[in-house]
Amino acid sequence: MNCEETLALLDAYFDNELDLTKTLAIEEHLRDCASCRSQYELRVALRQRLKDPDLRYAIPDDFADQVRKRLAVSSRPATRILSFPSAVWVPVAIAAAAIFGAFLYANIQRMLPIGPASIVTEVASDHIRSLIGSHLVDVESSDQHTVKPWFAGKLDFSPPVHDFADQGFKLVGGRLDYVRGKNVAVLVYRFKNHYVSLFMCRERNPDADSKQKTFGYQGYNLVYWNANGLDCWAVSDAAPGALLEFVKAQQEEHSPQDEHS
Amino acid sequence: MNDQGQRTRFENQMLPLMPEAYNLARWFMKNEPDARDAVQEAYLKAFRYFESFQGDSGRAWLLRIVRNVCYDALRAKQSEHNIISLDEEAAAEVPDSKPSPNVLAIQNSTKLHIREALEALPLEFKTVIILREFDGFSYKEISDIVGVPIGTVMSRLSRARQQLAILLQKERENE
Repeated sequence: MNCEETLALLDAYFDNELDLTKTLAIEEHLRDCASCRSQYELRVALRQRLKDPDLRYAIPDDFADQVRKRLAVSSRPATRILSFPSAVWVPVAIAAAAIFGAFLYANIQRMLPIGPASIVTEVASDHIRSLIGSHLVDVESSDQHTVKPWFAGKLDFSPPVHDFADQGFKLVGGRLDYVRGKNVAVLVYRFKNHYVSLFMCRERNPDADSKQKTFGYQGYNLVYWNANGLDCWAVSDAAPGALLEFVKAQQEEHSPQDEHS
Repeated sequence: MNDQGQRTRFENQMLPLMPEAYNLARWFMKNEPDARDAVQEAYLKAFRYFESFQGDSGRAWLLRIVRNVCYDALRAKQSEHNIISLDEEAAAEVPDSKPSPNVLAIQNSTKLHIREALEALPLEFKTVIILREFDGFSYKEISDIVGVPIGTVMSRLSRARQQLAILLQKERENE
């Protein structure tokens, strides 16, 4: 594992969220790399500092009693009424998410100078992170009619979903991810022993150069293109030729008629 | 289950979690009265919807409600004086929230620094640090509480720690 990969997973390692293979790979890298090790040690020091009990706010003496008394005079609504909270909560949650998303966007934009990550490194890092066993996909299915509806209501567009098993790219599922302060759809495919992540979001700048571009980043290949108002990124450690075939298959399916189906 | 049984189950399961709920609300709301209001409202809400709680982590379920109540309250506050945004408010209020620090600063400057740094973090970053470092939640649990994907939890934690680590590094250089 190299420095970029290690730093992308360092917090997950520090928080014990990685599988054994990744854990061992990171430990091996940390043994040899003083710079990454110092990043790790800063986290250890920070955690130590945050253990300080003075940083916890103690509950005021009378407060627990006050809440208990308040609860005692509160009656629960009848079960019949209880069934409607979910219906009430959904629009509230959606509205909250929208407002929250706006704040978040502002914050993330402000945060960017900390890591000089370009969108290439961000997409590549997201792909690397997703390979942590626990979060490759949110919805696991090789059936496009299962994966596509799963995104409904989670994004401001409906991503086109196709399986290309006959060409060697088998649909594994989809997940929601976050790039540049925006929710993006990610479709995950398996090609031989490699995973391919396809990131899609509404295009940010309609005037931007939408020509297909390829990038290499730390052993991963990335292809960018734009189709029908969507920015698309395919990322994989598969050979560039295979990835370009994948992109071609996608582009052939992304015909405008299909987009509205 | 009858009403009394439900009430007893709620009290046994949820009341012991109040210290954590209060700590979270107190960090969000930045003063005691607002934190008390938020926790009380969260408990009343939790009690009303307790029947719909089916997960295995009562802690995560309750803290999600606390977090939502606090965010709503902060948002309402913000629209009252809609000049400042949530995170600017967080940064601007730091000096008011501590007693005259001169004496304390000499005794324990690092403690104050870490508290200030944590208070000055944008709300979303503060949230993941508290849930992870104070409450020990897993990424999956934090993702459920906050309602964002696990990858986002990880990148927020990473960025929050980078910010706090800058402070630690500066301290070391000054020593």
